[in-house]
Amino acid sequence: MHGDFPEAKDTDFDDSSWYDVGLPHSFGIPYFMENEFYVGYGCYRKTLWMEKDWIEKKIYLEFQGVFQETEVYLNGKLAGTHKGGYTAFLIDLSRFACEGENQLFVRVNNLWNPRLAPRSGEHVFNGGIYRDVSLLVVEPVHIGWYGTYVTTPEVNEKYAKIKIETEINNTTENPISCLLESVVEFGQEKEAKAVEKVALLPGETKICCQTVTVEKPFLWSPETPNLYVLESRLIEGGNCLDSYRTDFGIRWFLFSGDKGFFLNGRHYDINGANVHQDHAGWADAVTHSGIRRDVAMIKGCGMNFIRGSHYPHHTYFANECDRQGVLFWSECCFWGTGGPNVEGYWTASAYPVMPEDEEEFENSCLTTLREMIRTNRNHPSIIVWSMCNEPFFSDAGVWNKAKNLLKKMVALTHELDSSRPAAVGGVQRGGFDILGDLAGYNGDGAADSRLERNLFSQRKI
Amino acid sequence: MNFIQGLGAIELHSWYKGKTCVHAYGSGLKDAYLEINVTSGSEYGNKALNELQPPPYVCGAPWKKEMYDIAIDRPVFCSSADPVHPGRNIVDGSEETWWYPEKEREGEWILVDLEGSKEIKRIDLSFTDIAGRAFEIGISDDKINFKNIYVSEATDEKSFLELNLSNLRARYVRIFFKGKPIKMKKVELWA
Repeated sequence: MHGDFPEAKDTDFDDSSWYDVGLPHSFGIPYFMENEFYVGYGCYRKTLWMEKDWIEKKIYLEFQGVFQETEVYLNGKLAGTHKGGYTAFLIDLSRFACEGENQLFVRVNNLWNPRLAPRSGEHVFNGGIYRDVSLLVVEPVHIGWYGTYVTTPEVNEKYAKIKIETEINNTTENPISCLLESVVEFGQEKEAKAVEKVALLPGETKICCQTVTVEKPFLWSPETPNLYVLESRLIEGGNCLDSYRTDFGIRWFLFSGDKGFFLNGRHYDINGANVHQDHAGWADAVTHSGIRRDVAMIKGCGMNFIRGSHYPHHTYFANECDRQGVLFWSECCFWGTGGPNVEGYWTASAYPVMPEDEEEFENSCLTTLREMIRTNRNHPSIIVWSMCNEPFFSDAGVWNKAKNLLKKMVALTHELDSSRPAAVGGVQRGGFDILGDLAGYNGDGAADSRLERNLFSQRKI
Repeated sequence: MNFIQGLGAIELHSWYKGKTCVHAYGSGLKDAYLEINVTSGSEYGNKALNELQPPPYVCGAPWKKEMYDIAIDRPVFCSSADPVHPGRNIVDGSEETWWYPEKEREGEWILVDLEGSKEIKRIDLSFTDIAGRAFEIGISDDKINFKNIYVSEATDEKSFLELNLSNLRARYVRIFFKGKPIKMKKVELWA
């Protein structure tokens, strides 16, 4: 129901007048690109049935995206919160779950927040639970959520060395010894396998590294979107504690300041478009088939690249780019827009103008960036992480702080994923374009003098 | 149904498994029937549903008392530019920079893209010198068809222009020089 009903966390709250909705949902439905939209609270209630044998396990609720501040209650108790409207997050329900019926209450608002990115943007910011929600039930010892990270430190047409990093969580109060088995398959044929012993202390999280080699790899490209499957299994005493599937692709690429872009060793022209996430009528509540269609439309008109403007897209979007064969620029939401720079709405300065807002805002950008990379890092279609769009639309007095934030975001990107460049998007003004490995220019393009000075580094990825 | 197959232009979401029949009719037209079958999900079960309603209110950007320049740092396109005096100089907010075309010839132009149709209440132009040359200000929403909203006099003696407007919305604002161009310091579009 639209509105704020904090008392609806109670199990005996009467919600008989509330609307019956399915997911994905948006506060703004029906929505047809009007400039005005609903800004406020919306609340959801649902009865969840928990099986008896789940109660000894870890129970999580995974949200792929809620715009933009979320509180999740189970049986009247606050289970977790999240700030940020475009990235997936996990809420642990284990503590408060009981066998049988459980009352779930989710309280959401899309109020403008000076300390939460984006502070501005030339688009709309409809609220609600607008992407998938899944109930995850796992053993107390399990592979971490989005816990695999697959890279190819050595790759060519003859072979690919595949580095597999797997995060394992032991949430019990006991030490554990188990085996991590990682099998790489292509078209259901086993290509490579690694098995390693893993020992974890009570409460420990560990990342295990394994390396395998695949001969004559089937390379991924927009023309040949070949995908491999990594099946990860945790085995204790012959029993499978957990299994996890990761789709990935083998390719290599290079951005060169003077020669252009190269994919799998060959020069490759990029031709694409910005894609926003909303659909007519449904606002941001877009189904998987809707996402599939969006990517297909880009591909169908001869393009090979999408810029996910100007925020992290649904993880399924990158799935479809992998599967259909479209290169993807995945962008974080440090976003500015031209206009009055007035606090209180999404026409504000991109970077905060009040000093007391700065620290939390910067943390929101870094957290969103971290979440975007973690949940999307195995997609072969993603060739760049972008930090921003038009951050120069900040109050002139805070430009240096905005630039410093971008430097921090670029550094964090390098730390989290050295296999891809960190770009700054929409940086055609103010000297913001030298802050990343790549620069994207909107509108009237780059200042010529910067191109001539060849400031971009050459990186083989 | 989706655009790709060309079978329709609407996007449907299903919440329950089952069959939905849509009957379309209109005076003078043949009736049409559409049957939509959803094969997965939970059964509807004929329970009464509270249909989702539109939001109770909507809001837009707050109204600002003072006018502000919406052209600042917006994209600028021009017929040509002296490399030292690029087109973007007219929206950089500086009194020290200007645009000038590559050559002094008739028919040069410069255009500001507001990146969306916006209401404009006043246009201020600022030149480095006394104008004294013929130019036109045109507006457009497609960058192809322009409507003139101001035509200067060649005998104008001022180095600036302040043009108050009412009920004007546009995405593109172009200054077109019928005669030889003038060095332009600033184009300010106030909203």
